[in-house]
Amino acid sequence: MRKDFLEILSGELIAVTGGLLAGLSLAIFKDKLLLIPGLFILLPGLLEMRGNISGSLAARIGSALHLGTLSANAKFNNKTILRNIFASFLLVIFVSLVLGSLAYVATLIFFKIQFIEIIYISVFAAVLSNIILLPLTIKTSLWLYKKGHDPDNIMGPYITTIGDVVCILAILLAITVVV
Amino acid sequence: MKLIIKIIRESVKVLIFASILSSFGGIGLESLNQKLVTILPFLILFPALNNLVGNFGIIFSSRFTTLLYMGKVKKNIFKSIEMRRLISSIFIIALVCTTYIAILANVIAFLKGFPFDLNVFLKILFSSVLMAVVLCIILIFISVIVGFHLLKKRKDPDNFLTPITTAIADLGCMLMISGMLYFFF
Repeated sequence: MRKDFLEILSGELIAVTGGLLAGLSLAIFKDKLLLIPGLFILLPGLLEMRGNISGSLAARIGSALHLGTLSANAKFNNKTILRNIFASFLLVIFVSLVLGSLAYVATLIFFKIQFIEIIYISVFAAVLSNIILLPLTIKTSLWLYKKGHDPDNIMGPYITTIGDVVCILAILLAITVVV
Repeated sequence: MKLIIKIIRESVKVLIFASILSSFGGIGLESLNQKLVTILPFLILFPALNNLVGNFGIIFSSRFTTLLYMGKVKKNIFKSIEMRRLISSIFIIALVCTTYIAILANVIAFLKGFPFDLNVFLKILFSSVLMAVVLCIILIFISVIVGFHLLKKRKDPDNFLTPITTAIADLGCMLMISGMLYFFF
């Protein structure tokens, strides 16, 4: 129990520190943020998506490891892993399109601003961040399990730490490229 | 191929639901974006707070589903020692982490040139702790109800619970942040 508590606490402290770094990136580029209409509508959804998709992926891998249907020594060419990555990536593209479209429509309806680029920013940032996040999620889950840790305790905070920073940097890069 | 279709089919609806929820929350934030950007500690705190509560959703739902699959949880979750320990751990960690990020966000904002104001600091600290505790209670309650329901329907809770809990955490977090920005600042 003490091990579980410490695993969760240390994971969370690292995660929120990563979140603060992401916040600091926002603070540094705050002038840019105000120039993109609908960005604050898009931002929470994009930040959440990496948790939803990578988090579900980590939870599936965690359950498979605990149940013994996936070996901790599995490589990336393992069928279960490949199929999980492929499915997650399709979801990323689809959900980022939905998020971008919702941000576009909401900005148009509530703030009377037409800004189609928000859809491109959404897809570009989501694809870019998940190219890094999805393989990292799998690799880390397997490694943690092999080292005797419970991925369920650590992966959530770990994904969000890396995810927040990667996602915000990807958004800022997407803004620079698209706008 | 079956696994891919199963994952997409089970996840897509809930992800769209999560996207709609977070966009709703984002509208509140967008309308207060000027205020959010001006009160620097809040802008710095926002992603950390958002992911802290979301993390509890992920940790609780993934541990809960693992315990469910292992048959270690009964309908009354408080009869399970593992669940009692998990819940108490989450609340203690929530208190420690919110205090930590509130302090650090103010320190970073101060270093970035935002003047330190005890009143602003206390408001941020109080609202962060309140937000984390309230949202944790909601997340645990929803995870348990939805988790049992999904298992009964023979669906994999791993594909549903994480998006549902993080979406609720996000929406709750943004609504509470928007509310606090509106009423306190």
